[in-house]
Amino acid sequence: MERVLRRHAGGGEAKVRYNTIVLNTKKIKLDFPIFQTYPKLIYLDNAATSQKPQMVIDAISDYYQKYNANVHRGVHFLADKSTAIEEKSKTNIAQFLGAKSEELIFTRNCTEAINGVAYGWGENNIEAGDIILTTIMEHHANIVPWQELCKRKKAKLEFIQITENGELDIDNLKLSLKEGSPSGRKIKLVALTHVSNVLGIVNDVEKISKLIKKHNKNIRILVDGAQAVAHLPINFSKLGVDFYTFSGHKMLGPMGVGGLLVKKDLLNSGEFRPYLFGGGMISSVTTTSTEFNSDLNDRFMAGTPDVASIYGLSQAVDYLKKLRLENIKNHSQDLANYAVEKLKENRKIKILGGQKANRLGLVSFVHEKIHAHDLAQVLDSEQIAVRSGHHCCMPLHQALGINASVRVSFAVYNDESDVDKLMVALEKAEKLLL
Amino acid sequence: MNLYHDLILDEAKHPSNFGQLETADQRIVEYNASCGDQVKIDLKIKDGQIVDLKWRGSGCIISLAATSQLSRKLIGMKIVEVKKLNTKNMLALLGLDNISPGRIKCLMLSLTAILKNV
Repeated sequence: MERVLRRHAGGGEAKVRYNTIVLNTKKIKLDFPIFQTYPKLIYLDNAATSQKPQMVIDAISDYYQKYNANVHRGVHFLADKSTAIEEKSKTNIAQFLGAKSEELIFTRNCTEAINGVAYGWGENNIEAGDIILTTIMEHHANIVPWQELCKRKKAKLEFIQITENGELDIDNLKLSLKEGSPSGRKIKLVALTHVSNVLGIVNDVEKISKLIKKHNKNIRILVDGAQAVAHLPINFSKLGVDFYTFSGHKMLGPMGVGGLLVKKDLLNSGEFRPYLFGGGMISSVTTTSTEFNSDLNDRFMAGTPDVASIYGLSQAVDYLKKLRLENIKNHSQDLANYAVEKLKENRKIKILGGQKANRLGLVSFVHEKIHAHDLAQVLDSEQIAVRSGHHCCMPLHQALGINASVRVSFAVYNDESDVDKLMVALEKAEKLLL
Repeated sequence: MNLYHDLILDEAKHPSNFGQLETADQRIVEYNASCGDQVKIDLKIKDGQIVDLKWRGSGCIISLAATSQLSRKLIGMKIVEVKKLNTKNMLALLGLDNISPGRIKCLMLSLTAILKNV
């Protein structure tokens, strides 16, 4: 981050090594109409949902003006156009994530994708006494579906802890894996996040999946990629995991579309089975029985999909591709590091997770005297949008011994000046509330 | 900004009836789903009337100030009257005309706890 390096040059304060590739955030901001509607808005709530570029917004109205028809069901020209748009978009989105087109199942969002695994895989493969491992840093979306599945199946949900630095405790994972086998306990699934939505810490999924599969290749691995897809190049074919889930709206795409990537082997073998039934996913239906669509992927697409949003998401993917994910990754790392550097100058502020942790795109903190909601409210009066609360991670907050925190999260249109304005507003909040 | 006016700030810093009753007819616990904050309220009730109340918990300025104000209003109040209290009354207690939808849970935490249990 050249601008930051220059600012610190000679000052002797540059303790963090910043990347040299810089996104042109001023130019990028022009592509996002929300900043024309609210020119002073400092939007730092991107981990909840990102803003949308004009081309994504246009795609949705274009679709309804030029291509709207139901897919795979008509012989008329509009049905063909709509089907072609959906298929092209699907290929584009799958390729972006390093997956085969047939490995991508569209859902409404990441939560629905994780629930899809609980139903499409868990219902058929989890038995009484089995163990599902998840981590204490998960979003409720990667905890509650497993709690419910375990209740239905009389299985057990166990949590891998984090280190003092906020990183996943790999020794704890190794111990759980080791303890799993001799006593006859069967670990069937490990469900973990790629990037923590509270700590911003990145899990080395490739390394973790190797460790798990080396122990037992039959353990299935699900990765919640909600906070990763907009910040990291993802290559599903190389991650070594069986399921990867994401939301479109956190990666500059529209709300209402997300996805579940499932390894083709699991689709072929029938280990992952259809869990939503109805039109579109069948090849024949009689009054007494149904044969599912022979297409490995179509059999998971019951009902009319949100084609306009799928098209919008494909445009968001094109936008991210144009900026290059490697550049975005550097940008997201730099901003998180810069925010940590600035926040730690205030002794009343405690950053969640270690200060030197491998963070991407977000930082959360608590103020020792001011409640997170009060800070967020004062920041709002300065037109700075942040998130306050438990960020759908109550178990993690409990483990950290706090109720609520403030989270600042970045996207491609944020830069270090946003962090500087945040720091000024935090001082104002202290003056007002202390 | 008028949300954090002096009365609210003072109220949160020096809350009334903060503490615990040694003997209580009802001990209530309620959580704020938006932040995980907890409020505990102990009540003494006699002949359909709240005769004593103590509360404790951590929270934001709005929830602390609201609970403190509410605690003063409730002592001596008949349960039938308590049941009529609503958001409008809570806003009035804090001298506010309105509050953003995101903070309603903070404002209403203690009253919600009471209304669920009396």
